[in-house]
Amino acid sequence: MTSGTIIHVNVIGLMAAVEEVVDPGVRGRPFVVARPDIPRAIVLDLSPEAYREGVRRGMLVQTACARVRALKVVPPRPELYEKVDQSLLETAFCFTPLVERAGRGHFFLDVNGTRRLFGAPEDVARRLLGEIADQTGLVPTVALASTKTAAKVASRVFRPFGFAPLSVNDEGELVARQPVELLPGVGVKLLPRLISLEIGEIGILASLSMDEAQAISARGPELVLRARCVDDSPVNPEPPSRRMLAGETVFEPDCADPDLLAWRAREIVAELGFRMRKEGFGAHFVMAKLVYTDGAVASRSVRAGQGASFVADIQLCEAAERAVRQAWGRRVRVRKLQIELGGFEPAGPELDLFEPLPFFKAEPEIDSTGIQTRRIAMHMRVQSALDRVHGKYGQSAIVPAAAFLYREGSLVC
Amino acid sequence: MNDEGLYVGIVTRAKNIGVVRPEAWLAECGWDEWLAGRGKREETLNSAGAAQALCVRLPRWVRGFGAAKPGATNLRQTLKAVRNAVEAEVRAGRVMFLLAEFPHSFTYSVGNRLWLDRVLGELEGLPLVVGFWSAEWYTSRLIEGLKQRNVALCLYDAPRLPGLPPAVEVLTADRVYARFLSRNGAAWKNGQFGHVLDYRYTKKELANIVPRLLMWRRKAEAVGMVFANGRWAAESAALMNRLLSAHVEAQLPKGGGP
Repeated sequence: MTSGTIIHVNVIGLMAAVEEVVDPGVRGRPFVVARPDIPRAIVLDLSPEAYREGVRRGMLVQTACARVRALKVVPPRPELYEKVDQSLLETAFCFTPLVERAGRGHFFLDVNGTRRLFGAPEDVARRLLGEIADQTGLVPTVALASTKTAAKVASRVFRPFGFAPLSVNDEGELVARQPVELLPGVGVKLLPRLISLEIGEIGILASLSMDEAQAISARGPELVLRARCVDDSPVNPEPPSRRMLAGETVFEPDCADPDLLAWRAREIVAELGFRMRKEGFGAHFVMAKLVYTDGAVASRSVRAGQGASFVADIQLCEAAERAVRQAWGRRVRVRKLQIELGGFEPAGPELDLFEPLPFFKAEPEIDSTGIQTRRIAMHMRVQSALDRVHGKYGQSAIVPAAAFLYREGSLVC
Repeated sequence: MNDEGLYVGIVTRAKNIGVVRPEAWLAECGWDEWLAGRGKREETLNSAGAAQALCVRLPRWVRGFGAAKPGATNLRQTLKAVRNAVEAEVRAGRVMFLLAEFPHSFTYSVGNRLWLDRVLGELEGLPLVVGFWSAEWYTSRLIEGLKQRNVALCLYDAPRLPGLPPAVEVLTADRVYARFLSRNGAAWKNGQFGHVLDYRYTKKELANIVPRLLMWRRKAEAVGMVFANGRWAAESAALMNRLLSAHVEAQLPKGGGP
């Protein structure tokens, strides 16, 4: 039986683990990593001993101290954690260039094609584990499987300090018997629904039909496929889904005009959209973040539907305006506006197998973003022409007529 | 090597403990013969001067198979008898591990889960290690349950074949126990089923295990490792001891003295 080639490395509680290595005096004692100088500081990370005493991440430090008398509060050292994280990544890059970072102290490697250099994937996983322990003193949980989903579930089961090299034939059975909350994508919202439907194990979720899955949630079919260990997502060093484009503008003086705010949002999103389309991506969500005059921050995001993405400016602008409207919930002037595009996925329509119907004969179709597909197709043609011009002569070469209404942040005509 | 709570040994018969293979610091033996030869063995150990630790496999009926499996009513008494027999030797530090190894037929059923729960409950406080040959048991639920009860999960080094336990490693208690069975998956494919567990570990294979073993030692109070690879077990244990000693010596600070 052969094993897969995807290795999942997870240093559970990186901050607490680093503190234990740096200061052996705290080893075996309940402690939390938190900022002691803040009045309502929360627990950023904690030792296993503190966890056993009922302390949880995100808890107020006062509450944690009340719960555990001998609790020690260690101030965080972000630079050190960053350095350790970088060191972990560098160790991983010694074995393969296909390393995908999935959070701090948490990454995937694909060692396919490295057998002649380093031996079987299991040996690579063992060597990686040893080298991480030698270089950083940390002991991560390592799982080896044929898909990212199976590797992630295994590393959640065999923690802490676990090593789970699963064979291809075993992994389906092993994943199927685990509780459903260990499946990536099942969170606090979905879990109670699954439990109420008596779906307690991943195997039960895997046995659902696609119609049944759709009835559970919009993401149900995707979860069912994951539960069946059907996961073709590659280990991508720069996964588009994690990339983000952001732009911002500072209002001087502070803005109280909703039209001006909407216009600025459109302006930013048009520029970001151009950069995004240039790389061939569409955005899954548009987020607007407002900083009010008094320093308070509000943010809202608008997401495209399942399997859809915002590509054309018309879609992006509508989404950005909606996000800004939703975020501006207070009657206070806005100081700064930030727009983010994220959740990138390859853009472009899926080509029809047959010749599409002539435009005038076609029935109007509504896509998941709520905008007529035909209208989008028409705009995409205009968009590509505009992008060509913008690419050649710059963003200011062609601007919408509405741009003349606002100049220097105020209405000019 | 037995210093710092790290024990390497072999599976052997109780009468051979401390005599035939003094290089094995840990000996795993069956319950019945351990019980039968307790007095004799102490004499032998004293005369040989060996500082050997023991891992005792619990009786067959505790492990869910055998004709003498007691009914639910007298399970408590029989387990109490087991506890009484072994408790003194555990306190004296002679018995380091108590192994309950469940066969492949011991499936992940409700009845078997209840059985396991009762056994672990009655033998609470003893240095228990449980091993499962059926892959069905390797669930998050079991691992969390073992962590709560401070019971170690036996780690196996075995070929990836149906019916053999998966080679996963996880720390569930303050002790670790690993059984090295074989890596002879080729024998299965060639139809030589009797030779699957007859395997000579190479020096390179054992050297790869050393860092992991030392890492376990840092995380746990006692680490036991036994070779059950047929006729090569004693040789593998001796080689492993040499590798561990060499590794420890290499890490000692080199100095010219005062």
